[in-house]
Amino acid sequence: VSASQELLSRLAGLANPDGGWGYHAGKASHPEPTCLALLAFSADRTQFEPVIARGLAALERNHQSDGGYRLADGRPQAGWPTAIALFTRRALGASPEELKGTIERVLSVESRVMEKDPETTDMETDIDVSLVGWPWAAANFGWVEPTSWAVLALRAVGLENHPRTQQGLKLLLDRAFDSGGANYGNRIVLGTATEPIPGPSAILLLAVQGAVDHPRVDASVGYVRVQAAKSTDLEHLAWGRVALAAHDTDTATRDLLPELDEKIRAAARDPNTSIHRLALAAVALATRSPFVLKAPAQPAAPAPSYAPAPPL
Amino acid sequence: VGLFGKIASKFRGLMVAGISKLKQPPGTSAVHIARAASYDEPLTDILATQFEHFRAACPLAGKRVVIKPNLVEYRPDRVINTDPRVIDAVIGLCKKEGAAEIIVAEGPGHWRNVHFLMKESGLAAVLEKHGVRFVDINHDEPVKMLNLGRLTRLDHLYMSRTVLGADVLISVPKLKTHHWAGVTLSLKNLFGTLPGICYGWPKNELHWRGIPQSIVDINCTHGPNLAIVDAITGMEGDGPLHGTPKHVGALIMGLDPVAVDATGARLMGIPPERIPTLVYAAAKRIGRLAEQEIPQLGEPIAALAQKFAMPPLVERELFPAPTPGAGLGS
Repeated sequence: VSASQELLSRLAGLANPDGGWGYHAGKASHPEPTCLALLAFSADRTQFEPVIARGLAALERNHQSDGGYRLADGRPQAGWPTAIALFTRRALGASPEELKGTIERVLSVESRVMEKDPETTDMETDIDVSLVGWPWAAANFGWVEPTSWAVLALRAVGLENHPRTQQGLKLLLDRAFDSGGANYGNRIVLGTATEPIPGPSAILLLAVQGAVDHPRVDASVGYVRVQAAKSTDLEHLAWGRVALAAHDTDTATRDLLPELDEKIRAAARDPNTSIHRLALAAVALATRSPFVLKAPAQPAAPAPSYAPAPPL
Repeated sequence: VGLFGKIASKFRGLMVAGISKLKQPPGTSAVHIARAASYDEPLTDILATQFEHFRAACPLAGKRVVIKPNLVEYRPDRVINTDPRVIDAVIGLCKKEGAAEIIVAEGPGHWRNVHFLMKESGLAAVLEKHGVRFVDINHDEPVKMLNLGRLTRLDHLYMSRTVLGADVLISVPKLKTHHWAGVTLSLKNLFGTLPGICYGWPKNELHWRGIPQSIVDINCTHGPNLAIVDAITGMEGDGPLHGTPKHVGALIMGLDPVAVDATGARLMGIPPERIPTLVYAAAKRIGRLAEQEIPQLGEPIAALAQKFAMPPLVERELFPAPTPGAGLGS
């Protein structure tokens, strides 16, 4: 039994009676861990077909009349799982036609644009606060993680060239550090530079894969590679592994992947590993990553035009 | 929001205003300051001595206790978080007092990967030593609560089921300056009781609505029963993340979080009347702010007070200095 198969069997055994998964064993199902588990199973759809069917049914219980997905009894404004659900359903074979309502919902959500404010002058001169991306919750600022998921999902359903996708890509490049990686969204707060964080940096890399050619993307690959190489944390390792698999064009990255696989296998042996982390590990070890988008018809386009940020 | 929604919101606002008028400040606003020169002192014993003054009003025996540390971000060269040795001592106190169940719970505003923070900061090892469970509030089950503060104009807050299920909630912050709030202490620490799955990373809605207003709403809706401040080594300057360590050598304890935080501010040389959060919290009767209304136990403030350097741009966030020349220090 391969490590990936073993993790999938563990995940299947941790499903809730409703078919979904919570962040932790025994906790109520939530769309995000349910989607991550489903993405893990997408690599072996035949063997786990009943598990996937029950998981999708659980996910549908969070499907809203507006086409979005959110925790059914959660905060109504927190619609950020919509893009994750769209990407997941597409990875499991749903057609863009079937997903029309959810695609429209993703496209209709816009992040709040900051107005001129003396308190945020430093931020306004560092990043382009007029760019529209996706928020965690309605009427909030656009952050790296929800914007990355939205861009990834829209690209997966064939909307690579949609203006929202393109502006999302622009926002992500705008928020990445010249030295690589991204924080949750801000590069500067009250005059002090923030620092990159492995998780959002990795998800950003998944969103921009094959779409743009920019030094910040290369630097971010380097940042995620360095972080993954020295980490023992399962979540950082798994996100790093899936991001690097989508950017494995250089020898240093390709050489690191087997080492990361071994570290992920070792870290995931902990019987107390949360479902969320277990699903990420299974996705990372899958023989076919659901996060690697099909090669675009054309070679990577140059970065969308935007004014480079001034030096920090 | 339709017409019906607006009417319902108005009605809820009136109801909350009525409830607020009936609210009484805590029975006692006494605050105890104990000397603790370093993290190697017998901190559990020091806390036990302090707790003698509060046991009658807030017994821990037989209770389900939730300890909320301040675990924000881990950088090995900075004193960002409540020191794990203080959490160790608080757990020791709870055990000594006979708590039925002890849980440590946190929902960091910046890092989703709280397991990484726990392990790297040393908190995971402390919990393992004690056999104490950790709950990741960011991914905990949310419960819709009527917002009893309404300063943010939000009708409801979504809070952690684990936090709401506590018989005793202990807020255990670190003594720090904060570039937006002025100070971050036991009231601000409760930002982390709202799940990230409802508000995101960071909890952006609460920033838009006003940080002091959000802090007060959270504490009106479900505040701490006991506050213990790690003031052994605090952070001055560009807090809460980029400041520098400042040794004070104290542990602060009290049942009234406003009084505890006001005392913490005074220990940092900051007039609490300048901190919007504390002024709003006192106005909402979460606790008392005036020094003459706060019985001082243990060490006097003057014996341990330090002049903390403030974040560079914080003046614009604070209420004006009450008298000329009473501005903040360096």
